[in-house]
Amino acid sequence: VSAVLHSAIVDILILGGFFALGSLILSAVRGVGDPIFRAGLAVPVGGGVLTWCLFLLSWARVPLTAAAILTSYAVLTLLFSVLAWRSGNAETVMPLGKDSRDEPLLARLIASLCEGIAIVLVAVAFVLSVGLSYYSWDAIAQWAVGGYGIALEGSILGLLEWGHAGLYYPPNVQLLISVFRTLEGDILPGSKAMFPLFYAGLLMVCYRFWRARGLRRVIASAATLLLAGVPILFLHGTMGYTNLLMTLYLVSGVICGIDGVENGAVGSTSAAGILLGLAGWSRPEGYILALVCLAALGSAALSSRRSLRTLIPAVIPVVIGFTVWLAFSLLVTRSHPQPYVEPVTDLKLAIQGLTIGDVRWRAFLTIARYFAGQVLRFRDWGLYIAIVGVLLVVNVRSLIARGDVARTTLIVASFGLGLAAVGGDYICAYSPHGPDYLYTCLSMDFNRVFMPAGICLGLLAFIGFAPRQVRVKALAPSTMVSAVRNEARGGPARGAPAR
Amino acid sequence: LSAGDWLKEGLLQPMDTGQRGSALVSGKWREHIGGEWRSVLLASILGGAILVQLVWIGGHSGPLLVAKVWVNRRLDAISRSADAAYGYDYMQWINFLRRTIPEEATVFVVPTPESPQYTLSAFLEYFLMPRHVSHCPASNLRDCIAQVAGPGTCFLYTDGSGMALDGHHGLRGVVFDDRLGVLVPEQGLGQ
Repeated sequence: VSAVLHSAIVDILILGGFFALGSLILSAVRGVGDPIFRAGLAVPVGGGVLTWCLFLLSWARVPLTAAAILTSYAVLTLLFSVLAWRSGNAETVMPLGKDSRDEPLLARLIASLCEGIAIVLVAVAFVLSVGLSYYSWDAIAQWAVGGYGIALEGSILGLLEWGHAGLYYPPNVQLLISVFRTLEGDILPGSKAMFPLFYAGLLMVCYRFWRARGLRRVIASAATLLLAGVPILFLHGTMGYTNLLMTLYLVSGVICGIDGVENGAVGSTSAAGILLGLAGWSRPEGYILALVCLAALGSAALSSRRSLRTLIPAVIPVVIGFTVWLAFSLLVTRSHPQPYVEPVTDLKLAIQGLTIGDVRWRAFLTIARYFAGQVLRFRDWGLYIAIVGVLLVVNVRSLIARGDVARTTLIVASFGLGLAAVGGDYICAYSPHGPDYLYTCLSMDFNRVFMPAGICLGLLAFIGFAPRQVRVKALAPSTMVSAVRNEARGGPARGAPAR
Repeated sequence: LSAGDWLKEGLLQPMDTGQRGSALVSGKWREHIGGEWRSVLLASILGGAILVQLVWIGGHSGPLLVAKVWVNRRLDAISRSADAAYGYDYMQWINFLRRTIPEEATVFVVPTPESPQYTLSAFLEYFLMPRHVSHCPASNLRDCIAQVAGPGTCFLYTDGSGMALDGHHGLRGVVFDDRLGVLVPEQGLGQ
């Protein structure tokens, strides 16, 4: 019992350490002023930045011992404390939306009930996640064993010896797990407590976005509970896969980017860049999806006649992350035989096929049929896709708003991320395993790769309920913020078109 | 406010301040669902969907919380993993291996497409760490043993074939059941 208690205390300290570091980073870039948003993102940001630095240290042949981890943490904390102290307050404060005290008592009660149930779901996910330990295939054969292997060998090259993924996957999650293993043996396992926190973070970020867009508290709470009850999201909050973490990074990156582009706020776009860069640091397809998100933000900036220069701070972390990972892949990964190269082989075959005009049209039909089946099949997306589809149709006019940064970004991001998910599985049609392998790929991958697109679609569908203060066209940033805040207080949006 | 007013004014009111319904909905029906009826309809659909999803999660989580989390609360993380992944018998097999195979051993196993949880090295490594688990360089156990047997090597078998090799190459068979077992060196590893 004492060993478990000791382990639990160390786990709390580790997670608290991630939280503190993440908060300092978000303060240092002056990107995220909202406490709910910051609370949802602090652990994934703090953990992600720490593991990236540990990766660089390990590449430089520094053994990843407990002393090295703690020293790295101390240096990063000191660095970002100084930066946060120098930067002052957050550059932008997300508008609060309409004060819920104006809503009828019944509405407030329902909102509180929805929020309470969502908190219960997170608590259940937490108990299941830690209580069951690692139990799903990839969580065991790739992430946990990889993390434990890094801890055992004291190097990221431990991934060549331990686990299925090798160095083909960016080792964010493996390094996070290795921190727990190195510092306390991962007895509970405390590393499993991270995944419900990612699930909670995603819910908090989405809730805050909807509230900031002016949704009434009761609708934002109900929408969050609908999202919390999506089977695949809840399961990923307990399973230990990397897809939920990447989805959280991508979705919150898009939201910060929207805030930055709308307000011309460099702090928010810097935060978006860090989050999108960390998405690439979590899965191989992450950099492609981060580029899709940047393209969506860029198209929104152009359509609203805002300067693309605002997005430069968002691009820099993604480019740095990608360049470092590419250099590592060329210098280190290629010189070691990888245990798991199937997707790379499929991609090479697909590129070869497409360059000679071998387009597998039948594969698109298979993917379309599979996707249609997901709307009917409850096990993965519940009723979420059906509800979101209905809302998109009902709110179609209010959603197509030229010059609106949030709507344009979410439309392009949903489409682009969905297309990337389709493309990722389409390459399986060229697999040496034969055309039937496509269906195997779809059943294994599609739903989890589709998660970022699905969440962005949901964000979009529900802001159709929002007041249209965000339709303000090409206002100066200061005017925009004052218009939004004024409307949030219940008054007319100064400078905004009349309803 | 009446319930209807609340739904219209308090719950979904902002949506009604825009267009009167979707371009895809027209005619008499559009008039009905453009106002209060649309609010009631959408609130009902949303509430119903939330409820159905919560029932599903309850049905999924409840048995796991009782049968796996509460019942196994005194077990270590690896045992809980094994039970949650493939059930009680699998957990017994894993614990048998952890007891039988010394930690400094290298374990070889012949991979088979069926029941990969018994033969895929990356999956087994998680449960048997710090023991290294590797796939046999040969497709059958006898040839595998002939190629790699040594003082620090153990061999898993999953088809009952291992017992026939008891005593070969200085290996001793330890039986789990009539199908599963492990061949460990009689000498050379701490027992």
